[in-house]
Amino acid sequence: MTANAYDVIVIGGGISGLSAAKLLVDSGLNPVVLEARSRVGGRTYTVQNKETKWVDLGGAYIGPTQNRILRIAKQYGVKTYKVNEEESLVHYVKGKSYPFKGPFPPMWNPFAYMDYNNLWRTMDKMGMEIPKEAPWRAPHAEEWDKMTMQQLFDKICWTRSARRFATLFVNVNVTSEPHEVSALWFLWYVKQCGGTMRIFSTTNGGQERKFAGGANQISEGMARELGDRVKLSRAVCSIDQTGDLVEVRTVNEEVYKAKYVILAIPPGLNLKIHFNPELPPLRNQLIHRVPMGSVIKCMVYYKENFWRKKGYCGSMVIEEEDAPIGLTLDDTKPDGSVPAIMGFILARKSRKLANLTRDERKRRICEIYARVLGSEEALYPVHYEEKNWCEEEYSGGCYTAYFPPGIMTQFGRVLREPVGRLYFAGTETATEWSGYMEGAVQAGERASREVMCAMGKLHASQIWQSEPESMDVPARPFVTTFWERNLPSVGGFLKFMGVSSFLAAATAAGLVACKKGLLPRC
Amino acid sequence: MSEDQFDVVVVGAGLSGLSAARRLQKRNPRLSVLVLEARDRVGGRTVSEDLPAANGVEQWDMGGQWVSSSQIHVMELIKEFGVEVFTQYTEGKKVHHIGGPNAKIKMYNTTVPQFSPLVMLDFIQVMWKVDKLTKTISVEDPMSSPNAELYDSMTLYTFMEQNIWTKDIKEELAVCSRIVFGLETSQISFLFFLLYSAAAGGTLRLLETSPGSGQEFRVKGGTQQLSKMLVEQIGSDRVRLGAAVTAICQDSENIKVTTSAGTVSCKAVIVACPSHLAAQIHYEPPLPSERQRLIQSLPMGHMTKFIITYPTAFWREKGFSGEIVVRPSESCPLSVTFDATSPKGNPALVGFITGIQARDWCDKKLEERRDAVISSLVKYLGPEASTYIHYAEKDWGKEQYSGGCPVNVMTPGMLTFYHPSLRKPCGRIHWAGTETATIWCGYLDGAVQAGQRAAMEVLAQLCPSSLSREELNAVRESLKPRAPRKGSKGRSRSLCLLGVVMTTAALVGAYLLAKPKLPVKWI
Repeated sequence: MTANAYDVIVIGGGISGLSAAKLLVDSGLNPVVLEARSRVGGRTYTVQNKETKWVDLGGAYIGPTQNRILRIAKQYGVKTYKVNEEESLVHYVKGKSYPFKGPFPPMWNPFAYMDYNNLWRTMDKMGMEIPKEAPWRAPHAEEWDKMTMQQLFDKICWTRSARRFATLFVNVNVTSEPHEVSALWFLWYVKQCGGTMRIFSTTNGGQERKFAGGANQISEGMARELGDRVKLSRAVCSIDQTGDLVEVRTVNEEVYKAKYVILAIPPGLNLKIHFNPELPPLRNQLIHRVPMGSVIKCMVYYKENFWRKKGYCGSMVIEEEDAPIGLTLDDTKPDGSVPAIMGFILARKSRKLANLTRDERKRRICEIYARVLGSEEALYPVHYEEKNWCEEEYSGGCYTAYFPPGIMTQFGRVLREPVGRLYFAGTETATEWSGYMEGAVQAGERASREVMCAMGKLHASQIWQSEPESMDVPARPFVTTFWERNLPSVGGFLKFMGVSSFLAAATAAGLVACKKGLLPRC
Repeated sequence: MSEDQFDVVVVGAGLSGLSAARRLQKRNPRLSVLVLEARDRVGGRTVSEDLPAANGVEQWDMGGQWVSSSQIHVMELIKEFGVEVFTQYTEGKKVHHIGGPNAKIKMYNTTVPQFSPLVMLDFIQVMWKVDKLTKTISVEDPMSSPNAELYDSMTLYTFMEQNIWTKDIKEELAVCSRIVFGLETSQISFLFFLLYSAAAGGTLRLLETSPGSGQEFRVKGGTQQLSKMLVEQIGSDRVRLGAAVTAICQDSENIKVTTSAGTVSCKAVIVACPSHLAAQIHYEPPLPSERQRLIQSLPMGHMTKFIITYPTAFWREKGFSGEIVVRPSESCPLSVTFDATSPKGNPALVGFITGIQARDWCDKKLEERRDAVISSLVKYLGPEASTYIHYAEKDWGKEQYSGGCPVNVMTPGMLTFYHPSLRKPCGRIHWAGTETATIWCGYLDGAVQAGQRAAMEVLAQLCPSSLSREELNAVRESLKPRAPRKGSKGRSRSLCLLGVVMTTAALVGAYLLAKPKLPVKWI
């Protein structure tokens, strides 16, 4: 046994844990970071090789209003570049490709257009009622938490095309199915990222940029700065708070001691740790109720950037059940080298296709790209990379943990609540861009400040701090048109038409009756 | 650190793990078996405690307590050990208070509460629907049932909203969900609910005290004694308490099991704790992703069980059965109570605080909860309820090595992809626990069945000569992967129908064309 004593033990060497430790060091404390894997970065993971130069197999995208991660990136000299959206996006539906511009595909059918418009407007309007830091306190929290997003879509969508796209919207944003997630949680999730357009857009949205050289540089930069305070391959199996110091034991039987512990791992992974004393009942219940999403991230590399020549930017929205990929983005390097398309196999499809061979998945992906882009060149990739995050024992999935129906109102309030000297970080505990790298930093820094407050170094009012806007990546507001704000929903339109028809018929009947002399004194 | 060598290691000394260990030893006495338990006692979610009562101290069950004549596996065990069961007391009036604090308190003698005719009609139609659907469910492979994917994409709440007309029945079923699962209806996949009912032999069996139903019998001397008697048969030196398993490492020949009290080696492992607690163990190699995802998606109910002992059974004297069903409110924490009078005649009531009430009340002080429970009982049974001897309770949500009580359920969407992983071995790690049972899963009976099934799997793997040919075939059949589902069933059916219609039309057309003259003159 080796006894290692520190001020704070941080469990989890992802962006959340490392940013927590970094802030502690900057404040003069001596933390240690214990990471179960043999690398830092958590759900961000950059691989470098000859074929790709670098490839982000995990979390990769940032955008406006994600100011904390931008601040840290700037500190380490990691530059960002814009994801290509110069040419047209393409919406593939019913076997046909439709080029478009903007965050959402346009609809030509007026009913479908009304339905789409009402969907986004309603989701954003409902989101406005939900407080970021405590969604269970929304006025309709109990009602919305009982519903799944499937039920909400059934209620507000009239057309099949709107429902189908709504399903893809949930698949893309939280890598799970609409019938699996609480409506309250999902509406909160979209709201705390800035709304439907901010979360789904590339330009001016959550997917606007990538890091040149890969997202893992952020973690590696922090780990370098922390030096030998970062311990890899240290899976934690127990935490004991019964003594003066908290004792943390790892699977390889090392013991670490500190006054405080920050757990910067997904809440579901708390189950891997044996606690003495036991966790309070609500936390004990919470940690086996928040599953991770499922996604396989796939990068197909080509000899040349043929899609740009055809007028496409590389972003595809693919609505076909047999197609493995739901959404793609251009993954070409910023200097135009290494042409590639990044695609997500999302939710139910990632579960179905996990059992295929890698080559079979690759073949299916190339086939759908060829059909969508109308090009045979898509059938001849020069390289392929993929990552199934469900296979990771110390992630459990990607992008983030989701809340099934009924959980947010019953257990959500203990998500960040300290237990004795244990504090909780991890992107799932964030209130801005939770599920993203930005949320990971917010959560890590908040947890650090909570610890410093407990130590008496900080006042409680300083725990939650807002971040100034990044000068390099400014956020522009999304402008909605008059029609987008005022166009009726299909239900409203039909109601209006019904009432109008009734009134017109009554008027016509009255006129006819008058002419026929059926009414007295006409 | 010591390192011992065994043939089989069982993780969890509840009824399931101990049943597995005993079957292994019985079938092949040469097998060396070790049971590892994280707690300082055996029994899992069954624990019997001594409580002060009218005639001195006696034992009551703070966990699982009921058995039924239809639960053949646990009843077999009970008979074998010479343990006696007795009927749950149900004579007299039941109290029914649903619809909020200001609703009318009703009392009834019948099996089902007395509703108004319209509400009763609603109840009958929804129970008929549920029973009809339950009969279509295969307990071995629920995804092979008709419309399985649709029902898995619904919650029980969704089904209720779509199929129940009256508010009374919706509230009634929400209370039933809390009583049976310890959960709100919105948290349970509707398909899982049907599966659970099918494993019990029907929905009403989950709720009632009638013959064959879940609350039919209580066990004299408590249910934990079954586990203790199993330990005596296995050998107490083969059961290690206070040994929480932290890691399982599998290589081509051996499995190394690391616990908080040392490391052991073996050839096969049976994990018999609640299914979600498999996540407490680090695995090398990692579990398959389906199994990893499964154990993320199994919430455990949240229940606090209380027992109150009384000097007299005043409720019986007043004509009450002791059964109270309530929709909880801010001042009333309980969901249901029953008579819990002991075999020696010590009067007591048992009750449960569940679901959202468990959430609201678990953070309060014990005295606060106790006073709220007592004042609720006074409201329903009269002022004598305040004259009690002792109040004891257990919040199962606090238990690290249970996570809650009574059972893991599955959330919407999870059966569709992960149900096969529930019982599927991962290399030489086999899965037991009552949640993996096909009969009365979630109950003591399911725990015994699951343990015995896992033991058969291990025997088939390590020493097949211990099993008969029929038993070997049964094990292999149950482990065989399910054939991929054909999604074209409905499509082929409609295509057949279309073919029939077209053929008929063609024949009629040919007949009409062949006729030289029409028999009737058309207008």
